[in-house]
Amino acid sequence: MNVPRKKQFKYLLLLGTMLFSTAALFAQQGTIKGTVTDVNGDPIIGANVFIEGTTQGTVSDVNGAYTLPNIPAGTISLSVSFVGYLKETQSVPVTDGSISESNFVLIEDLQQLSEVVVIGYGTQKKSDLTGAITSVDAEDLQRLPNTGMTTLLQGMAAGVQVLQSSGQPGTNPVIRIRGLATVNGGSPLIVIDGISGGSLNDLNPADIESIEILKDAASQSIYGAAGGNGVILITTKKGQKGIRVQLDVFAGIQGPWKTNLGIADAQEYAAIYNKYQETRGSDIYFPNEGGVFLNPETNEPLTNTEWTNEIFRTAFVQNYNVSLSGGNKISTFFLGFNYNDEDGIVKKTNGKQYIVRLNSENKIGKRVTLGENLNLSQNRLQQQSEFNEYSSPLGTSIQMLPFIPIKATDGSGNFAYRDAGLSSNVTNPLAQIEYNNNFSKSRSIIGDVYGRVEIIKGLTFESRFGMGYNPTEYRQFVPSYIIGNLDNPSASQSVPNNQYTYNITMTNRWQWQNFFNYNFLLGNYHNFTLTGGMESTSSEYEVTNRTQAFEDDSLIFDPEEWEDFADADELDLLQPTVIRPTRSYAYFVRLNYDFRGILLFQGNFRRDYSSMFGQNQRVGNFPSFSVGIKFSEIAAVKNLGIFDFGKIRVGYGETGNSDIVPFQYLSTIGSLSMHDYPFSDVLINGAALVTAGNADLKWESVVTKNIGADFRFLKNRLSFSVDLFQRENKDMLLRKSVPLTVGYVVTDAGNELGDASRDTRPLVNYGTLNNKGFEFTATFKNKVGIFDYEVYANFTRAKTTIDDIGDPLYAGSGRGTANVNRTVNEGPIAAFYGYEIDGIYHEEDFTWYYTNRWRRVVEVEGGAIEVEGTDENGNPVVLTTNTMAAAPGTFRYVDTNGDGEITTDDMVQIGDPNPDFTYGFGANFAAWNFDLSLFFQGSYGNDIFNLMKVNTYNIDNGGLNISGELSDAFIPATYDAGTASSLPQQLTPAENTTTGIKRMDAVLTSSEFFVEDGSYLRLKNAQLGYTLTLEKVKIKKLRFYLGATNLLTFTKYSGFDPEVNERILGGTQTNILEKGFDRGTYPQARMFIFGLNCTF
Amino acid sequence: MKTLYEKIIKKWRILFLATPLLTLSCSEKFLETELTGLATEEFYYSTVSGISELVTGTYASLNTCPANLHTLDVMYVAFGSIASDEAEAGGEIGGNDKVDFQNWDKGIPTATEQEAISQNNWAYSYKTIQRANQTLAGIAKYREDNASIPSDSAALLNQFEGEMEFIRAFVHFKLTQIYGGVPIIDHLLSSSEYGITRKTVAECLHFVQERLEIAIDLLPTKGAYGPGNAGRATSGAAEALLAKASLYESSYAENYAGDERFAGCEQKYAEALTHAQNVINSGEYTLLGINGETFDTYWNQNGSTIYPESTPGYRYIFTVDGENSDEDVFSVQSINDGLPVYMISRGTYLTIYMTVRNTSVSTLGWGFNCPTEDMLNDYEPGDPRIIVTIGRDGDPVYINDEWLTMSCVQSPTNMIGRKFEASPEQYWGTRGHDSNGPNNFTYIRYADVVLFAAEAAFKTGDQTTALEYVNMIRKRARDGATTGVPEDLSSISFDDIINERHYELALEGHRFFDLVRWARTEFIVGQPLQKWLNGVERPSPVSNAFTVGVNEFSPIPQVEIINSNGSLIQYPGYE
Repeated sequence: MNVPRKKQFKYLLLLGTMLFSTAALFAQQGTIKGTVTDVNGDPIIGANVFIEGTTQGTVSDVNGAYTLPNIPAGTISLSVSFVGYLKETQSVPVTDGSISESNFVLIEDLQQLSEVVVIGYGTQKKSDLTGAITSVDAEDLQRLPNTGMTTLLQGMAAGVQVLQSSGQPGTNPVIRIRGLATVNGGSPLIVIDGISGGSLNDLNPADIESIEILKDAASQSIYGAAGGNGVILITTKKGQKGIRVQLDVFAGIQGPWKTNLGIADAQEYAAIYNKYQETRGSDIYFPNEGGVFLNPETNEPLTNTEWTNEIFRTAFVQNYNVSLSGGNKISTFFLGFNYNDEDGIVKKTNGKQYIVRLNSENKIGKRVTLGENLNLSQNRLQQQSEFNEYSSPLGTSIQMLPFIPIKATDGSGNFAYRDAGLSSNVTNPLAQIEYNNNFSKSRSIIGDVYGRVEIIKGLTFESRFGMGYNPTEYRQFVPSYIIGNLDNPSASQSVPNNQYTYNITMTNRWQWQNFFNYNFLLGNYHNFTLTGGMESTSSEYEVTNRTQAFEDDSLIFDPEEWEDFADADELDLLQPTVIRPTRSYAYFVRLNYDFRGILLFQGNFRRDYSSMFGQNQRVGNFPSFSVGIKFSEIAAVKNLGIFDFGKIRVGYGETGNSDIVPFQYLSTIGSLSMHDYPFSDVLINGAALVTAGNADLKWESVVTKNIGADFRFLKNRLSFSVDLFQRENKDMLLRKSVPLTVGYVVTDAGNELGDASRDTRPLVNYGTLNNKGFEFTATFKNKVGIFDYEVYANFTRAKTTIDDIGDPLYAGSGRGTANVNRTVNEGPIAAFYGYEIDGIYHEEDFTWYYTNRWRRVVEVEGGAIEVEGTDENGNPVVLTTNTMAAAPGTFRYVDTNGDGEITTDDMVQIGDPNPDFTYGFGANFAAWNFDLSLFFQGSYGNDIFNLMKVNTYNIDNGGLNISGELSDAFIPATYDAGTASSLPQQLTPAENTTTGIKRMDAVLTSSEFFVEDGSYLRLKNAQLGYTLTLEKVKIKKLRFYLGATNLLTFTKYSGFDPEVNERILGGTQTNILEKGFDRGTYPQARMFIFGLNCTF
Repeated sequence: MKTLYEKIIKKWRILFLATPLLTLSCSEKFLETELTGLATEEFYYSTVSGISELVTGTYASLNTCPANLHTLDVMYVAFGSIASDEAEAGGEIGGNDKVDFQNWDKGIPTATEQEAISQNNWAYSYKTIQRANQTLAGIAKYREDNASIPSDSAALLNQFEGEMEFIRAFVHFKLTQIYGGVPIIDHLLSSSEYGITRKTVAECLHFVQERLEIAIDLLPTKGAYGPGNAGRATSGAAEALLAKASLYESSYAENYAGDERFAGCEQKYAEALTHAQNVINSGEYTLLGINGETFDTYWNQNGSTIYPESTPGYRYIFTVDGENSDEDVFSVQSINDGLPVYMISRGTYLTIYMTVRNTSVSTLGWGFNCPTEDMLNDYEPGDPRIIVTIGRDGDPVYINDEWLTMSCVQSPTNMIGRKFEASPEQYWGTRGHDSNGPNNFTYIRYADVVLFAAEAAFKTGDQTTALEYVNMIRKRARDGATTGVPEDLSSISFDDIINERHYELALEGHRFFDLVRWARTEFIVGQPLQKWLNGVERPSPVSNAFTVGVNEFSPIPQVEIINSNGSLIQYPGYE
């Protein structure tokens, strides 16, 4: 009988009890016999057959048969249960002396009732969880093409937001667990096989066994100060009995899903520009011959370059994955190798990744287990600049004039420069791509060794030591170059020297954990698991920046040889290497208790010690508890027959946020140019306080409350989980106003926005923020005949509101706008601020009046705004003193504060980049040997501020391209001078089309007009596979598939891509205060692949 | 019988139990880590050159430019001259330019009206004090950490300490002039000390005097500094400021008896006289042109004559070449560094603010600080200081390397101040930005010290000495000639001293503070203001609304009242 020893013992006990109980039998007895089989008719061996409400029972034999003699007569309730199957109960009439037959067909429990999840320093049965933990298993991940760990999690789990800000290979999305708990950003803690502080980007998704996401403090607080932003626990694959070889390969192509952004082509631009020139009485710029506009310099018909198309390409992707695993009773091992090569959809972008993973586990005797994990990875990237409307080809491709050819017209082979006549200040995006050689290479070695001893039954001790080493090099090379016509210096730009920049960052860390787990039963019903131990961590972060300009332009940069290009040590050190070492240690204890598997309790306590802060604030205590009740186990509920499973969970906990730069308790002093002083007219280097330290600085403290419930209905086919949560950050780190008298800060009166470089204020634990929401997950699985299907959905709403941060925080400044993103009290994080628009001004809205010159005024509520007039010579002037430039055809901004003026005080919240909710849903189908999976993911209710529109909706924008919609726009009128006694006369009537959206040449700034709905729904993944079974050639499984990523996108957003999100600052750093501010986003690619999975 | 394996396991159990206990002993020592590569206080405190950089950084704070473009010198002129009877705000025609300047012209504005200018003055002043305190903390730490310091380093440290004591006293003094009693910040504040309160005028002045006494002993004389040190605080500067602080205290005590704001002030005219005379008798300073030297005498080193030969030596003090001359006691240094970055440039906005606004030369100045008709009329006709101080239509002005004719039609008074126009330097041709003004701002000029001495002597009853000093100033004014205007006085009254300061120091930011300490604000009360004010053409002249008993001092910036959570309180009349 293949029954575990422990179970055998139980059964013996059970049988013993039965024998004992038979001594007290009544006279009237019968016998029940029957079989236990699965749905295919195969016998289930060792199933537990027992009479409800008694201890009488038996187990099924090798044929699935059982016999229960000596059953009292009457109708009894007979149940059968077996691990992995749903419990089945039947009513059986028993009559004296006869044999009743009762056969059971057990249905597989698709929910894996006994499934165990990792909870940090231990495991727990999933059905006993009292915290909010989501599991994603390998099977779910492996339906998606391997495009990186983080990306794969997008839309997979309720409460887990994966924000992609760029489709560039190597830019890693950020993960937010249940929205934001701090304005300082903060990513979840990543724990790989028990060792914390790792990075998802170094892992190969194919090596992952399971992912657990700890979403509430009740489950996070075992990680203390590091847990406040959520914890992601990764368990990697281990070898299993026998030898197994797995091969997964795919290759495909990818490209942009949208390149036409509605901006003008060459002929449209010329038509609109000429019309503008004509109307204001200037010469037309583009000659016109038979309806075709000509280039003013060459008199040839205008060529047209579709820049937003030219920067893209159809790119090749390939991925190879091989793993070998195996084991016997004593040892297991796993060896995996992955190679991924992805060309980005923007030219000259590429990512190549190699990952090797090795682990083994060995049993020494019966009680000792020793093992190790080793993960090596190398990631090479070639990237283009992003998040900058001036230097990124994604931004400049929208702004570059369409009639400029790619290459200069003089045959020199140079890239074309901007148009001299229109003096545009935008660089040829293809030249930017060509001359920007931006490489990075990061390597990582992560490994750990561990040992586990079962000291006595139920008590294990585990020690685990892990190390990580992660150097990343960034190299940038800009060669000397000339753009434009050689013969025309005013229409060319040249850089005489090769410029080489080299940065290296290095992370070095180790962690050592020692802990116990003790599981014991008190009495029959009180089940305890105690976990306790300590952990110490040391990490060092090092940064070095070097740069040099080489006059020798014969130096040719060869991307393939880039590593050998120059010895970095020879370059000029820009500043000393900065090393920030931090150390911490912690003690933790956890108690799990359950009463009869019905009442559940968990309590955690962790005490953290960290060098992150000054002497006084190095200790933090992080308690939490949660309780649950499996109400479906209560007899009364059970009898209802509605719930196959039902549990309610309530949790409370405190965690910290320590995802901050260490050493901020110290004052730093800097030597900036503004600290220099001219003694005897010669500048002498000076130094002064840059940031004041604060010895009292401590962790941000986050308090979370969670209430959740899990249900399963319809014979476990339908499962449903829902959670409501509330998080409060009470000590958010901020720079808060202190009295000016302290001398730390200059809140510059002339500049309401202050100047960050002069902000010497110390960080303080001041801000409060709350974060509320709910989330649910639902899955329905069924099988109809040969047709297997599963549909699932998840939904997350997480709303973060600032309670108090003192002074507002600003971000989102770009061409034509300043501080669009504002984080203010009682608002969301990074809301858009600007003017509300109440239509546009018309000629009749204005009246003229004369003071010392003619002025045109418009009446607004509460007063008159002087907006535009003529100077002494009759030239139109726009008065800007304390007023927004306004004229017929410009936006009528709303005077929200009613002071009769339109000033920056009238800016109000005009949009919110944070979604109302995010969601994912999908379906998997299998029939015959085919499988089909579809996965959708979306975001609803988030806004995007389209910065690129601010520039392209003004013809007088300094020679940038314009939106095609401007062909319907207003044309400004011109006036003669007028005299003191006569009004200026309108020389050219303004074209006032009713469809006109605005005046063509109005200077624009942040307003509602540029805020767009950023909601989207994406068919993230679609895959159709066919599986061959080829047992004769020892191939266990061979599956071919066709897949597509981002096949369909539904959105109203007009830019390249609706996934704009947070601005990436470099590496894994993002500025969460600049969100949804589109400077020309590197779009998510649409990818088509063909692949195969093969298992030997 | 136990197997070997079982024995080992038994031992291991103990071992495994012991391991976490060992690690439990992890002490706080484990947490001691060191940041490298980033400059902390400790790094700068550890070397004399680090401290030297902190000293320089403290001076740099004196020529800081806030985002509203009012450099500290521009603000000082607004407080001292525009607020008085000698000048109007000016600026763009229509009187709507730099609203805070216009407000200052009307009389001392309310806390809200003066927000920008006063808030910046307060913030940057205390920022300078913070830097001085930080540097002093560094010096103390260095001395504490280094048992034996080589004598040259020790001397340098003494000099640095003196410089910081001087700057800290100097900024506190300026704040007291403007706001009356202010918080005294004499060390780096910890967060528990943010509940700042204001001290009395007397306490502030006593603090200033006490620290300057220390500074005098620590600082070298002007002549004792080696080359390359022009601009550093000297013992002469400290003593001159001490004379000024003593004189202010004496005036307040004499003229505001019974006024709560000045409680504790004493008449110290004798001390003021001693300190001023110590400076005069040091031989370190000269009134340029007192022996008949002309502009050319000093300037001719450049080999060409720009002003006519007859231009007085007095003119030379106000040119860029005349900076740090023998008449200079303490001035804040600025250079045209060509940096087109307004908050970073080490130049000053003073030049562009104070130069004539002229439609025919589009790149000219903004035309603030316009002398009043009264100012012009107060001079004795023919006083050579008039043409140096006041520019009128048709006067020659050296701009862009050539002589142009000045047009003052855009000035509300049809006149412009000339003391900060920077010629004959070719500033207008070389500047990269409005922030590149090269003018030093002279806070203490030797003539000022001579007049302190005259005033102090007069008040101690020594009219002879007072007369001698006033006549020294008048002699220089007439280019050292024995006869001519202004003639030597034969006898002296206090009004003569008032007038001589008026003539000699016009538009340099002193007048308002002088009138206040003398309680002679009748010059300000009811003074007619420019026709254009706040963008509105006044049908009839408006009068300066100075309220005696209130407007002697400015209100503390409202934002700071709010920041202080009630620990800072306005003087009566401003609550």
